[in-house]
Amino acid sequence: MVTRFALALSVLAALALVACNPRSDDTGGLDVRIVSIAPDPAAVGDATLTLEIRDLEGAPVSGATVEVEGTMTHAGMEPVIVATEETSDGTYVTQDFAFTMGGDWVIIVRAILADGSTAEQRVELRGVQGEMKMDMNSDKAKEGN
Amino acid sequence: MATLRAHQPRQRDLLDAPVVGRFLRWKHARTTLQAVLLAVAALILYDGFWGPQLAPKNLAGVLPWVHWRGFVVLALLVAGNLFCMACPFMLPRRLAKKLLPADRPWPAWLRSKWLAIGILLIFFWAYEAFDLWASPWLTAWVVLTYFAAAFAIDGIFRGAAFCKYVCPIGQFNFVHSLVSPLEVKVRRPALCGACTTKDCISGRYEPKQESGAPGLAPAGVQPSLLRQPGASGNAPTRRHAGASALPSPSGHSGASRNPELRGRPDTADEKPVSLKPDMDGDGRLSRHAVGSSIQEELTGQDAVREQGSAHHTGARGDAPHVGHSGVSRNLSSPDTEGQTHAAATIASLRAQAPDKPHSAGLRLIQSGCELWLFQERKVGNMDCTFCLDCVQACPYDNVGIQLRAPTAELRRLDAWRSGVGAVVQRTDIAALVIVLVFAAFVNAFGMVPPVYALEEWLAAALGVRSEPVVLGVLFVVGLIALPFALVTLAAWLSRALSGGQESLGETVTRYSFALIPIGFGMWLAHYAFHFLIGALTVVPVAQSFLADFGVPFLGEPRWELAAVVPDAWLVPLELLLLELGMLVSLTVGFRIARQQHGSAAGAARALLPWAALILALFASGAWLMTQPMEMRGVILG
Ligand code: SF4
Ligand code: SF4
Ligand SMILES: [Cu+2]
Repeated sequence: MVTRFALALSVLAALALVACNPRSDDTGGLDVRIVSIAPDPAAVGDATLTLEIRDLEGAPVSGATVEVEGTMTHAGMEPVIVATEETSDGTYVTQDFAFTMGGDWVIIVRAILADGSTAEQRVELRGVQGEMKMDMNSDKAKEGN
Repeated sequence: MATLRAHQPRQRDLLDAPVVGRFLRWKHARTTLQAVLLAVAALILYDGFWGPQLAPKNLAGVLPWVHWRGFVVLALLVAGNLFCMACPFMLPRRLAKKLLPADRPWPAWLRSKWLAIGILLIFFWAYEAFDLWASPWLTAWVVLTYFAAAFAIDGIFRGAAFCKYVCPIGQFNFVHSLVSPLEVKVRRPALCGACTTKDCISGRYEPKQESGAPGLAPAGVQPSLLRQPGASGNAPTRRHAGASALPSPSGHSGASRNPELRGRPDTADEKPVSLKPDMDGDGRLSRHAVGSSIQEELTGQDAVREQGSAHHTGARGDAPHVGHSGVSRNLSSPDTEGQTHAAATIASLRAQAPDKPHSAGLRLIQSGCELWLFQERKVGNMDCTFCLDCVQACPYDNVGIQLRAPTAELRRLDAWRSGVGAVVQRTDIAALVIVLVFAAFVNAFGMVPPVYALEEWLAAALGVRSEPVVLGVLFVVGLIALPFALVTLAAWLSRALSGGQESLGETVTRYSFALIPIGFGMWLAHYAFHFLIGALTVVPVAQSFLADFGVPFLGEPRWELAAVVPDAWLVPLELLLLELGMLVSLTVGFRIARQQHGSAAGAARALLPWAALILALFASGAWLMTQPMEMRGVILG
């Protein structure tokens, strides 16, 4: 019985080793950053995110198709997925983005470069200010995608 | 004298329902449900450990925190303890019962809800302190720990020790199923009085084929124990035999004392010998010696029952309360009466089967109730996992899943319940109830902005920046100190206003049950919110899960799928659930007060402080709902 028990325990231990916390971010050797969020501080409602994409030499990466997804750390909310417009070399601005609920957000930037390669970057954005829940219907979140 | 009611009101029974009933009667119904949930749990484990570590994109973020919680509370509202019925943790545990000895009795000092209360408190704290909802990886760990704990504990101890004494989910379900509309219950009580084998608690056995001539009853074993599996459940001959025995249940001394409450035949003499293979203490236990633990548990609980019921005058045991002074409150230590009872049992066993051939010669083919609820004296849903073992075991098809008024059993707090005792005497159950009621509010409070201001303030006041510490303080106050102070104050006022005779502790215990509906209303409002706003997010998450395996399903993930009802419905719906909870709580409270005090005026005075507490809980719940709900965790640091 003791051996069986030890067996069960070692199976668990093996699982534990395999299941180390994975991390994922594939920026494809690019520097993707959110340079500003308006309004500041971020609050529920329409918002505009400005991003910069540079290569490792610091040169702006232009001509990429960049999509921005806002989701929350808590499951069970519809994510906000919007396109961006390149306003100047390597600078991309979100179209019709909106925070649909207060709390902790995760902003995911996905870029498809002109040469077809892809890059993804996640940024946590904590403490987006909420507003009265009753007003939640009035924002334009649903038009985001 | 036991008189049989010729015309019992027709019970509405889920087992009689067309499709569902057929399914539930099927021997493998529970296994099937469990297998489905086991598959879901496997997905959660896999995605949690190896999938994307972003809760909204991970099955371990969506399925437990959006769907499972919603399912649990909604099932309790419209049916009963369906999660335990389908509990996936019980499948590997069944393996443990085969592989491991599972022969130790659960330690007497742990036979209460205190351990589970501690685990619940730790869970509620950890949920906030480590943002479990935001971490698929941690969520998967919680699930894995659960499997391991159920496996280990039930592999070491007899019966369903894990469910009854450890499992925090189970305790949540037990408490809230007290207000569920379904109950696993005897159909015709009189039939139980005539039954001699009590398979619903002892289980059903057959001879081991390899030992001795098949079909030969070992000495002292009741023939019904040897029924073959094929004859399970509804064998007409058995039913007939049982029915014909009905007119003469007077041989049971217990039945003749009090047909309703104490209709228990003296099972000590009549229980099949195979029940207690190890009661004479030679230390050799058969693997499935459930019977012995039953005997142990029942004996302990019986002791309380015998004393407790002596104070009751009503036949149903829930007559106006007369006071329990002198009643043993410690259920884990059988008093002398219980020990005498057990000694007599052992003596009679020795006489019948000196060399115990049966314990080696029998194989369990259907467990009886492993939570030690003996159908004949089972009252209400406390500790019932809806596992339906009793339904399968009863040879007379005399156990059903019956429809009832959802709060009916809260009228019977004084009634002695098999395997539980009288809940009014269970301080631990009352503490469990109170913690769960307040946790409903604290858990929702964790999601609105004022909690962050409070955390900041507390962190500054205490001079610590560690969020787990600050939250620890908040939880000790919110789930222990504050509830304790409030219920004590309410009980003290209630006694002072009404001149009640019960002690302060007894008053707290009794009225705490009136708080269950308002707490349940809050849990429902909160988890129904998450469920309704996010139920469909499982579709795109599952789509992307499959896509990761190169199995595209219905095209691109449909991330726009989320809510199942318009947002505008949510707050009104939440308020409605909370209001319902409040109204039911007030009603139950009044009924409890009415049982204690004859006059409506006296009852009203006794209820007043409790009503104030219920209204205060309602007000704080309503306030929480008008706060902007935020989904966030970390604030400090
Ligand atoms: S009490 Fe038992 S059946 Fe219920 S959830 Fe816990 S382990 Fe599962
Ligand atoms: S066997 Fe026990 S726990 Fe299972 S349904 Fe019957 S009474 Fe409930
Ligand atoms: Cu919540």
